[in-house]
Amino acid sequence: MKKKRMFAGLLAGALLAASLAGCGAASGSTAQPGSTASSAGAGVVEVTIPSYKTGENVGAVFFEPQVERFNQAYEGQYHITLESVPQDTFLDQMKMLAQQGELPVLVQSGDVDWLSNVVYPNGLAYDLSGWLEENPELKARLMPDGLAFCTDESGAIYSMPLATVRPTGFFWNSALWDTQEDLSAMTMEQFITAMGDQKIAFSTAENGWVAALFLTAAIAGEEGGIEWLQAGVENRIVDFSEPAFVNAIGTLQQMLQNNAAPNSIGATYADAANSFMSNQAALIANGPWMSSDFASTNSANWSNGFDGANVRAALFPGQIGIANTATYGEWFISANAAPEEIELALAFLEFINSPEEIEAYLLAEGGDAPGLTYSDGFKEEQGKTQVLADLAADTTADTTFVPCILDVIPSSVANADFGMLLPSLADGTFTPEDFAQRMTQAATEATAE
Amino acid sequence: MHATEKRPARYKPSRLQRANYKWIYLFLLPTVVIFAMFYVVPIVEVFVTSFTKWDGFNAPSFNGVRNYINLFTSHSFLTSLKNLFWWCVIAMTLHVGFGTLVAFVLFHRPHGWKLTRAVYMIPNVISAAAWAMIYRFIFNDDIGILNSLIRLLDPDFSVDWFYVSPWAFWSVTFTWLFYAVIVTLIVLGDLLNIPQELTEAARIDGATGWQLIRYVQLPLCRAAIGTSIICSLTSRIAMYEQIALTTAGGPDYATVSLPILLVNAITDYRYGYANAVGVLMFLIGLVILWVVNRLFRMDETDY
Amino acid sequence: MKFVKKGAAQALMYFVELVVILLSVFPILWVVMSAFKSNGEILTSPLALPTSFSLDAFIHLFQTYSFPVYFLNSLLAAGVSTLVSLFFYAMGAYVIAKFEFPGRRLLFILFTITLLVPGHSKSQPIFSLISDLGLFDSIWGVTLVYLSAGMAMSIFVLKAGFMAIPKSLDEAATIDGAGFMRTFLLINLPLARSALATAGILMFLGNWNEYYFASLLTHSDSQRTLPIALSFFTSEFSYNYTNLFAALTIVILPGILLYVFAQEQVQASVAATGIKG
Repeated sequence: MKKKRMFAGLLAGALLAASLAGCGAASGSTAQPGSTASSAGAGVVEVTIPSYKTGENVGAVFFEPQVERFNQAYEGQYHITLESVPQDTFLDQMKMLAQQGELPVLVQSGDVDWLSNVVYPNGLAYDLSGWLEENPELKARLMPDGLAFCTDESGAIYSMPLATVRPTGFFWNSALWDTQEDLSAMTMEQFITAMGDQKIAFSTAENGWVAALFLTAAIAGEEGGIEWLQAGVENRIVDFSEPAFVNAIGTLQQMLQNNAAPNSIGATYADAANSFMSNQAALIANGPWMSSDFASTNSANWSNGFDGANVRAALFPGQIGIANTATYGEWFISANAAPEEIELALAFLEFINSPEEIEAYLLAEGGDAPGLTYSDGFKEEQGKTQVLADLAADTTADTTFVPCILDVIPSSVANADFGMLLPSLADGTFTPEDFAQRMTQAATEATAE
Repeated sequence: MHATEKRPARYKPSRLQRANYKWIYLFLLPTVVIFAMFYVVPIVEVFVTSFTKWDGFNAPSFNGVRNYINLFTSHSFLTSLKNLFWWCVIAMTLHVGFGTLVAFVLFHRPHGWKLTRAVYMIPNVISAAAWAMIYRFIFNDDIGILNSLIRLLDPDFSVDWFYVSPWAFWSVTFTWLFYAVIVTLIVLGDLLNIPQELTEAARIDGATGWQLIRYVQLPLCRAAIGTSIICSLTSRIAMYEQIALTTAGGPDYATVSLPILLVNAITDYRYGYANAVGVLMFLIGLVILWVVNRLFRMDETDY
Repeated sequence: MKFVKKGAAQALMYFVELVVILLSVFPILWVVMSAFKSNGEILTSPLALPTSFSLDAFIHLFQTYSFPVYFLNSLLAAGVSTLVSLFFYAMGAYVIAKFEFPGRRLLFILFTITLLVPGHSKSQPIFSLISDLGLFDSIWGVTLVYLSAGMAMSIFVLKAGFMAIPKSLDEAATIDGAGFMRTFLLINLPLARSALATAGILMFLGNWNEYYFASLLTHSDSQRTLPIALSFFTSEFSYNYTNLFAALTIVILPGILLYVFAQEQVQASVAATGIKG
């Protein structure tokens, strides 16, 4: 007994000592992320940025090497070190740091509500408008919609507007469904007929991502649907009795009943992706970033005879691309950062929006940069990746961009209620009207003042 | 079997006991400090802001009992109360019952009792995320183990357990129903503490195995069973991950719980509303605490 | 007749044991088994044995991540916090169980409602506290938070444990001239061993698995715990089940080994004192 007691006493002492030591160390240099700038030494400004696009994350494939390229380009001047934070707590950590006034120099995204209600009105972000004014070439590469959205009434620009748009369409496996037709030129009805009984790898768990994309396309195919979706960017949709929505839900129900791959109900995105990549479904909807999953370097994740080379891509019927251009960008700079840190951050934003980096990004994750005149070899290079070439060919002046339904409804309805209601739609418990009524109810409750 | 002393309504401390006060409060100090550091601010904040409209960052604005009115007129909230009620009933009877049964079995030390006790803890080592995945595979319609077994008898059988009412409720229930190792350990601890003389005396009086359990051991374990019930009921109030990672509350809110609503409200930056849900979780917990304490006479000692 | 009855009781006991073992062991076996299967195999035949034995996933994980560091961090945070808080809560539970004093009921209620404070409501105040102490991004900050984690459950279990110890023993000790501290340390603590073991194991496992605060309060690789590493495999748009299950195995197995080891120790010490009935 004595021994145990002594042990506990020792441990308590050790804990105390260690926490004191921790205090000492923390007040030195490593207390906050991004505040570790040290202009000493060889005059290199160094910052640490917490990011979720690292390690296993799908975004790491492009982002980690990009930061390396930045470090090389500015060797001896700037250096960025990445630290990985899990994606599902990343935003929570940023919110906490914001409250402490200790945001990192560069902050990677955040949801619209947080940015527009907390970060920007409270002066937590650095105003980029002056810098963009001095860099007209850079500014010209940014998309006008995004630039307008990011500019507030006083002319300040806090979020770095995007230069690229990545329209989301769908992928199909030509080994299972060998169609020669131009799918995006069809109407939704023709598409469903053409699809016959091919299987779609739906997901209904989490936020029902794959189902939400097909639903968005179906809404856009209805009379007045495009306007209904686009109006939701300004004012979140809480009334789902709109005929375009109800009819589109009917279309989705039909697809869920006739075309859903086995195990679609309750499937997470991971389940759906695996279902597609094991030849159990001929179609899946997702953004162009999925193209890297179909490269031969990823063949270890394929099974059951699936070959990524057979995958083709298209925008949705009715020449619909799902993308929201009127949106905040990926980065903002903390207003609390030291001047030399802000210089580094601006250099980084300029670097990732340089023509070379934009093109590299488009080749890696797909998409289009309307404000950029592509270099000579770019189209050819893009053509080497079949699905990206397919999507580029579909993206024309006649393409209509609509925001995904999940982005224009209250967050909790998008993240929870929508996916939760889908199984009952699929098994016929709900009629489309029931579903719409449930959505309205959920949205009303979620926004009740 | 034995008399419990009745305590006077107002307790008058003896001199000896008052001399102990400085020790008593010294002993409480560490726990109180931890409580003050980690719980006082959140608890006060939850109560106060439940009467405000608050986005979690900017100054909250008082809006009276608006959040509570919204809650009690909300379909999902009322459904979650109904779910909680049934889960509590199941937890008190089947869950605690099974845990107690296992404790009594282990107490008799059949072959393999050590192994059983050791492995029963394993499910507690596995994180909720992993559990949810495992159960999604068990209850999967096409490839799940459950339906594979049923199809041996009825080849046409097909039920998507997590996604069809009323099965979804039972499927979520099953993810915790038999994992009662906490109950088992608490009850087993009390069983081992029963003085041997008591059992011996009962045996000499001619008590058979069942009578011994019914009239000696079970009554003496009532504090442990009460503790187990409180632990398992509070876990039911706080149940989040098992649901969020399987049915997310569906289908049609059949498995929705209070914490699910709380997290949803935070997603919408409605911290005031979320904290109103938190306050109700507190109140329900206090009622449960009070009732179980009364029912099991947990403040009285037996020896 | 009596013989038959006894046989039935025996059969029931073995049946219960069998059910418990099956329910507990099957999931973990399935996780470990899946770590050796390919993505496709997991999806198409989740119950079949792996067709080939591949350590690739484990090699990849150990090459990419510093799991030994995460393991040590987890051990440190969960172990230190459990030992310290177990002692603290034992002190608190002891006086609540055995003495009558003003505020007893209120404190007991306050301590137990901590179980109902939603994690999301705690996060902001705790983050400020840890940050003000300068312990952000330090495993010691996480350890400090874990001290508070098992409060309600431990006080409950320990209070029940102390209440089961006959008061006559305390009185005898007092008559022998033992002071408050001695009565607690030498009479009550040893007799409450099984409750201490239960509370300790529950707190340790809870902290070993804790994810939210660990990920909120740290971001550098050197301060990371095992559950954070696991979360990298469940992030959005990831679908590699083999790596996920391999990571799960790496996270779960040490927990189980530690538990089995602790179980043996507790067993041995209880047997050595021979106090149970």
